[in-house]
Amino acid sequence: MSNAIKPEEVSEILRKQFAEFQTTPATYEVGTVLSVGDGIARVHGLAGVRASELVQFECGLMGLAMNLEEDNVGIAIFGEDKEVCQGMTVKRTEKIASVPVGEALLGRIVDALGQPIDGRGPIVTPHSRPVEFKAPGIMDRKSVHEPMQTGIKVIDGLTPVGRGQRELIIGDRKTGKTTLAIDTIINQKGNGVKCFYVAVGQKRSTVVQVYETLKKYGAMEYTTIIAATASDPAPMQFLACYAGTAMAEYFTYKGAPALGGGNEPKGEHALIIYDDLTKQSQAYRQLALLLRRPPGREAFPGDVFYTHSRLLERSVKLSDDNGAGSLTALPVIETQANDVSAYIPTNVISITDGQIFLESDLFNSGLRPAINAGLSVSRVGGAAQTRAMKSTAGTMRLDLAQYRELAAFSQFASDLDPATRAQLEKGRRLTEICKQGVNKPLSVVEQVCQIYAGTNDFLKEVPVKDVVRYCDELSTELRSGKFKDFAAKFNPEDKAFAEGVKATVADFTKSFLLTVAK
Amino acid sequence: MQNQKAAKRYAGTFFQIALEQGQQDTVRGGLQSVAAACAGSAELREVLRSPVISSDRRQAMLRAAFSGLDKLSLELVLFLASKGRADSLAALCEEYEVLWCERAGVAKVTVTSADALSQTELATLQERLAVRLGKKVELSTAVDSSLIAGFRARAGDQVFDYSTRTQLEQLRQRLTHA
Repeated sequence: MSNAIKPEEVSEILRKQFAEFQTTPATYEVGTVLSVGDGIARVHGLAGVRASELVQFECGLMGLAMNLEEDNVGIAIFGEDKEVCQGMTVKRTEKIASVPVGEALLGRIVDALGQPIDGRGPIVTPHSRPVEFKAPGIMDRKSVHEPMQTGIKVIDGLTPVGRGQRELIIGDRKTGKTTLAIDTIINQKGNGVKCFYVAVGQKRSTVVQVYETLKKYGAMEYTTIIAATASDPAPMQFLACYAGTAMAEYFTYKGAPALGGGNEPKGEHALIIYDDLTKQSQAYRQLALLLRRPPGREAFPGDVFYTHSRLLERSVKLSDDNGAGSLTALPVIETQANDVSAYIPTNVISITDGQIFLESDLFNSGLRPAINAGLSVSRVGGAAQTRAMKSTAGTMRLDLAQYRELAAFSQFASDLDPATRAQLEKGRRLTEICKQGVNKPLSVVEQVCQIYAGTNDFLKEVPVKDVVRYCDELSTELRSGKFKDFAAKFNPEDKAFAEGVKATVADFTKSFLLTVAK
Repeated sequence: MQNQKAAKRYAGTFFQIALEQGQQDTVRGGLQSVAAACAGSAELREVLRSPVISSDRRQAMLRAAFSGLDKLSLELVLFLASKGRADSLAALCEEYEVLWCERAGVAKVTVTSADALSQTELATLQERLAVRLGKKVELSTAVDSSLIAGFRARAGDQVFDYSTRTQLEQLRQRLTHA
């Protein structure tokens, strides 16, 4: 019992605490609750309160000053408004809303205020950051140039994401949006990227599922889940995204003392997923309407664009002077019946650096992930793609586009010339290559080999139904089979990468065709 | 809310008129007694509020009830009633008081203490608060034994808290969150 508690030591610590404690008179400003309802309190007084300052109610609940009006202050309550009553005093805290940040948060589930909700004890960290933070300026940034590998063939091949990019995941319900995000988190294992999953307005059971999945693949070690579920009040759902970003920024700004970050030589890389911004904007709409701000299109307040733009503008690739850290964002938007021209989807599409479109038709036809390769784009990711992937997947988009056109056309034609038929066959196989299992992210070498086989006609002899098996077996061989050494030595930036890939794919195809012949 | 806004406007104008006639202090006294009457008499509040009573009748009743008021105050009260704003009377008195205090450089401070304070203690307190606030101080007192010891002074929205309860609370916060 080396760490037994010694009573005299405890007494000594307490005595010291008491001795150090000076009875400083508390001077503070107060107001009185005029009315309360729907999570909003109107308060008289608090003359000096600042916008988005935290206030404390007599009952201990916290609130956020949102509307500063001539004769009252509109306050969003973080918690059950039943505890707040008319005439209660409200105290200014003179603090802007901030959350605890740091390494201690990794592996935890917290709420929008950074309080743990996973029942694993308090989070002890000396650091905190304000939830609202001004995005860094132009000179503090650098253009996106390193890849953020999602581990999903179609994304890394066709719409690559770079570190510091904002890539929107958009689609109807049940099209695999969250799965894409979770796979991306799982794929960050071992490469030092810290992940933050912000669940807004979801069911608690869904959050538990996500947690279990991440834990199963060992991804919780570097991940924090920020959960503002459907049962949490609207202010929490609104704030969760900003709180999550603050937690991620701690790592990004580690090497940027000039921007209020840490003093370390280098910044780290972080990935944040906002799942989803549709719910967040709905929570904000609720707040704004209850605060009697004038409604605009679809009853959203006038500044709903700004709430998203200032959030996503915080995603950044910092310059070398600032430690070269990065924050990549994957916001998620849920559409209704594939309608991307609704208010929030168009807003977020215009803010982000590209989007990944998921379609339920594709999903139901068995193409999973159900990514529409034609409509998905990445505006900056090309600069962040590895050399090997860029040259391998370069023609894939074109091939797929031509295939779609021909496929529609060939339905009317009875006999086709050999060139057209070859193109159709190739397209069919490429489409099969795009398929990928759930929670099975692939390494760069696996992706390159599979796509290489597709675009360079190695699959000509392979029946379409066997392409998925071909990909799986190729992956297995690269991971632990006879191409293990090749995979280990593979350098995606090597100019002469193609020779090795070609030999490997040819070798594998030869042996694979033998199994098909049987 | 609507009443409050109207009361603010009327109070501003009334104060301006009283100021022009140099009677702001007299009117203040008058309105203070009106406010006291409003607070003390449920019947008066009913008369001010009730839609059943006609405007003329209400004015006659007010004239009779406030006959002891100075001329200007009475005129102002009757004017308010003639505009159908009689229900804002109490709010108006409050707003007038705020304006008067601002003009006269007076701060109204409520001192809540754990035990009743002696006259000398109050005098010292008044002096200290006057220095701190840079204004003349009008004290009102209250006793709240839950403060344990010490006192808490509130001037407008500003609170100076010297109570043992708050200090214990601070200590608790420090011990549990340190």
